[in-house]
Amino acid sequence: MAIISQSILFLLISALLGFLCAPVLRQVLIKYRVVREAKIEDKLGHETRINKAGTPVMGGLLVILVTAFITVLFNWDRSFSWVPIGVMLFSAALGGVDDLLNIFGRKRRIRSVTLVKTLSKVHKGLWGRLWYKIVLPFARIRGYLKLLGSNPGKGIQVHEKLFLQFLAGLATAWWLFFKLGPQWKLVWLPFSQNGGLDIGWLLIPIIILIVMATANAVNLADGLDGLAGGTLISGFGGLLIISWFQGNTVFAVLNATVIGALLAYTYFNIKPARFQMGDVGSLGLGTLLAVMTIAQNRIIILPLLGFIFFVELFSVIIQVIARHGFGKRLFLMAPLHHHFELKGWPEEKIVARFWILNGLAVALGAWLSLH
Amino acid sequence: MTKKLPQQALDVIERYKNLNLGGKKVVCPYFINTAGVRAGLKVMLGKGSPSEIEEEAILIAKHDNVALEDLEPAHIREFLKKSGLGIDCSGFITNILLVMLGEKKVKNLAVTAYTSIIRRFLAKFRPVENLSVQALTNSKNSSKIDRWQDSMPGDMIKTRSGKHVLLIEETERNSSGELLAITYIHSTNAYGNESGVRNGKVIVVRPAGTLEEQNWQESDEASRRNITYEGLLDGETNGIYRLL
Repeated sequence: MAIISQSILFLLISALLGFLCAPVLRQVLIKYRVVREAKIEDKLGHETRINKAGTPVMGGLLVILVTAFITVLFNWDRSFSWVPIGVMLFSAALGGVDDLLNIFGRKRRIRSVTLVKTLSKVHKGLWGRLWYKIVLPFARIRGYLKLLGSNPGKGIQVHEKLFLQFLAGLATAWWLFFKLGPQWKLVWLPFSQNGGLDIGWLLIPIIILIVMATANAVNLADGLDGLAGGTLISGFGGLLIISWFQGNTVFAVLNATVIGALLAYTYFNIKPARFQMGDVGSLGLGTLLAVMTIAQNRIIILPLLGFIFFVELFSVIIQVIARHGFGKRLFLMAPLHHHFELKGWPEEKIVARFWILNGLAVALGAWLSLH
Repeated sequence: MTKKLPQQALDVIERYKNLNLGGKKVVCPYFINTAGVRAGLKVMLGKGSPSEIEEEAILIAKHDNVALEDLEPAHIREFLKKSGLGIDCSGFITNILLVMLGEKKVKNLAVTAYTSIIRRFLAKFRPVENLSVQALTNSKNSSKIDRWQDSMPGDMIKTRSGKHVLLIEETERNSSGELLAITYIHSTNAYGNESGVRNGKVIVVRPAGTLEEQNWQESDEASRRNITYEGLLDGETNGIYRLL
C-alpha cells in the first residue's frame, strides 16, 4: 500500500507543479514567438488546421522539466534514475533544437543524390571526386530517409535525428545490459514458466530499435490537440500499475510523476490547445516510455502500452511503401489521424476514440503482465 | 460499317472526358512527369485512372481549401494542371489497355528497358508508369502494320518518332470493306486550352495513298493548326502499330 500511496502523492505534487508552471511557460513561449508557423499548418491543409497557427509549441517542456525536477530532487536513485532521466533529457534536447530550428532556423541546403553523383564525376580535383564517390552511398541513404520526414527543409534532418536517437538507444542498451544485472537480460514473456527468454546480445539492437521507434511514433501522433498527451497518460498508467505489481518504488514514483505532469499538460492541450507538445515533448516522452518499459522488463507489451503510437507509426510506414513502391495511396493521408480528419471526423472524435482504444490496449497489456 | 473499341474501353475514355469534380464534367487535362520522378503516386506522374485523378483532386482541394463546387470547369482544369494532375499519352492508352486486355496481360508487356537491374525489377510492379510510347510500340509488344488501310480499333498511331501516341477508337468501312475514316483518341498538350483528352478524325481521301496523304481533322480554335498531323510527318518510325 505504501508504494501506491507514495505514487499518488507524487502524481498530485507533479500535477500541481505542472498547473502552476503551465501559464508561465505559455507566456514565455508567446513572448519569444515560439509559436506554430502559419505556413506549416497551411501545408497540412484544411480549415481546422489553419486555426492552429500561432499556438505556442514546445509545451512538452512542461512535462519534461517537472518530471526531471521532481525526480532529481525527491526520487533520485543512482541505479534506476540516471538513464531514464538522462536519455529523456537528451531526446528532449534533440527535439527542442529541432523545434527551434523549425521556427527560427534557415532552410538548409542538402546535396541531392543526383548532385553528389554528378560531382563525383565532374569535380575539378581528384580528391574531390574521390570524396563524393565515398559519400555517395550516404547520400543515397539520406535520400531514402528523407521520405520519412515531413519538413525536411529546416531543422534537424531525418538522418541526423535517427543517428542521435540511435545514441539514446545505445545508452539504454548499455545500461540494461551492463549495469542493471543479469535478471534484466531475460526478456519477460507472458505465461512463461521459466521467467522469460534469453536472447543474448540480440537484446542490444532490439532495445536500440525500440527506443528509436517509440520516440518517433509519439512524435508522429503529436498532431491533434490532446492526442499524444492523453495517450501517454494511459501508457504510463499501465507502467505505473505494473511497477506496483513489481514493487519497484523508484519506477512507480517516476511513472506517477510523469502522469501528474501529463495531466497538467493535457488540461491545457485539449482543443483548443493553449500550447502544443512539440518535438521536445514527443521525442523526450516517447524515449522515456520506451526506456521505462524496457527497464520494467515489459518490452513485449510495449506495442499495447503505446498502441496508438505504433498504429500511427505503421500507418506512415505502410503509406510510404504503398506510395513509393506501388504508386498508390492507402490512406488519404498519414499518420492515421490525418486520414480520419480528411474523412470528415471532428478532431475531438478522433482523439477521444484513440484514447479509448489505447486505454483498452493498456488494460490488455496490464492483464498480460500479471501472467 | 463501324467498328469500335470494346464498350469497357469506351467507358474509360468517357470517364477521362467527363471527370466528375465539384458536380461538373471536366475533360482530363494533359500532364507529363517532366521531373522524371520514379517513385511516387501513380496519379501524380500523369498515369492515373479517372477515379484516381478525381480522388486525388478532391483530396488536394480539401488540403488547399479549394471549393471545387464554386469553380467553372475551365478553372477546375487549371486547378488540376497546377496540382500536377492529368494524363500523358502513354498513360492514357495503358489505362485503356488495362480494361481492354486485363491487368495480367498489361503486366506481361515489356516495360521500358532500364539499364539498372533494380529499376527493371521495380518496373514490373508498376507497369502503367513504365510503359512509355517507345515501350508500347517496341518490337516486343507490338508490330507496325504493313497497310494502314487494315487498321482497326485498338491499334496505336505512333507520331513524333515515338514521343506521342494515339489510339484508334473507331473505324468506318463501306460495304466492300474499304476504309472510309479513322477516329482516334489521345491525350495531348498540343492544343493550348483545349489540350488533354480529345478526339481527332482521319478521312480517307486517297485510299491508295499513304496515311500522311489522308485528310487529318483536328485543330484548336486559336491556331487552326493540326499539330497531331504535323507530328505524324516528323519521323521515320511513325505509323500504325498493333499489339502482339
